[in-house]
Amino acid sequence: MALISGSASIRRYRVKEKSDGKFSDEIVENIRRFTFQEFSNESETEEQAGWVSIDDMFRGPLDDNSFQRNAYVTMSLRVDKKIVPARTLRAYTIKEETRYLEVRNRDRLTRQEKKDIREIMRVKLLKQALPSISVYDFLWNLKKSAVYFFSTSERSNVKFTELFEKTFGTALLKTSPLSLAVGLGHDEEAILKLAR
Amino acid sequence: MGVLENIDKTGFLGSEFIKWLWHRSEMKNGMFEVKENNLGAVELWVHDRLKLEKGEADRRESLTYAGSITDLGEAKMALGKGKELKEAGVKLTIDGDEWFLTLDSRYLDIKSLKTPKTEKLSGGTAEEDDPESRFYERVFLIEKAVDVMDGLFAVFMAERTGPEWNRRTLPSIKKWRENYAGV
Repeated sequence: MALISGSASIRRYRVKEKSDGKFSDEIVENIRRFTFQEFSNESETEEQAGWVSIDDMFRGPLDDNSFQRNAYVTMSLRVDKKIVPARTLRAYTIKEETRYLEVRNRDRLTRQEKKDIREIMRVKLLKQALPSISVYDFLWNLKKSAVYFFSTSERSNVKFTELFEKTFGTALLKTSPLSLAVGLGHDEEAILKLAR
Repeated sequence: MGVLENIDKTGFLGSEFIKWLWHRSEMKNGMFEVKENNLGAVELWVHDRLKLEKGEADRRESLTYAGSITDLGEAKMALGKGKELKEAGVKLTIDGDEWFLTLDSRYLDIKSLKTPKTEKLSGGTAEEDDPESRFYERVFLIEKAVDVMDGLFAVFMAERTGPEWNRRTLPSIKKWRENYAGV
């Protein structure tokens, strides 16, 4: 994965509240609570997201020794998505609508019946679909209060920051040229005045 | 003003930083002195890829130049036509080790980072290779690249907010651009 090997794309954050790495029971419980769960056989959702071990995407982050290495916290965000292609759904829905009418010896469906059949087929196909898997590493340097998230896509960053903040109970502040400049001691108002 | 609004308003800083890196590297044969974190001398070249943009939202025009020096020269000309640098491919050399990355102007994201090859510390075979050591070495190399880029940004900001920017740096950048066009 990107932290350990290969090419890495990184978006940086600063953690608002410094941590010494001695996490409370509440935070440990949050990590367990937000650990990734596979789709169940009965699941009707299209997406599952949660934390996994950075060394093994099939294990929770607390199930091995990878979670904390001295001054670093490492985990991965795993996001599984199931998609039913629109054409596939349409084809099976039409097939089921035809069967439904034949059984009842009718010519037409009501609007509600069409809607219900479509939803039944969507859920049925969804349960059969294999998920696509995405795994995004993150590294938290506790001494610097710096977090490196190994993806620059907006969608994955939004998901990551939401889950991080829920898990660790502290805000993540996105790094930008402005925040870096202010961190170096430059006055924010003076920088804003430089804007064309 | 909100945080996101401020980031948008100061988005030009990232573009100017990339332009400054490109100009400075060509003027000083790639050599930079980074005082932050005592990093010392680093060599940086804008290398193999540039992305420029002009306009807002729906009317945004984007151009990517990749590969040849001719293409980079054309990108230089495009800078004079109101286009801003959005991304640049960068090669960093420190004490003989090389990093390759693409720097994005908006959040200073570091994309497609390739770190120098790590040594097998135990002395040879893959089976003997120590995963813990590999982890710490990899993290060290990643953070080094981040620290260097932040250090260069500090040098840029000191110049950008100083009196020399309008007096010397801007005219020098203008001349550097125009020299390619033969103006």
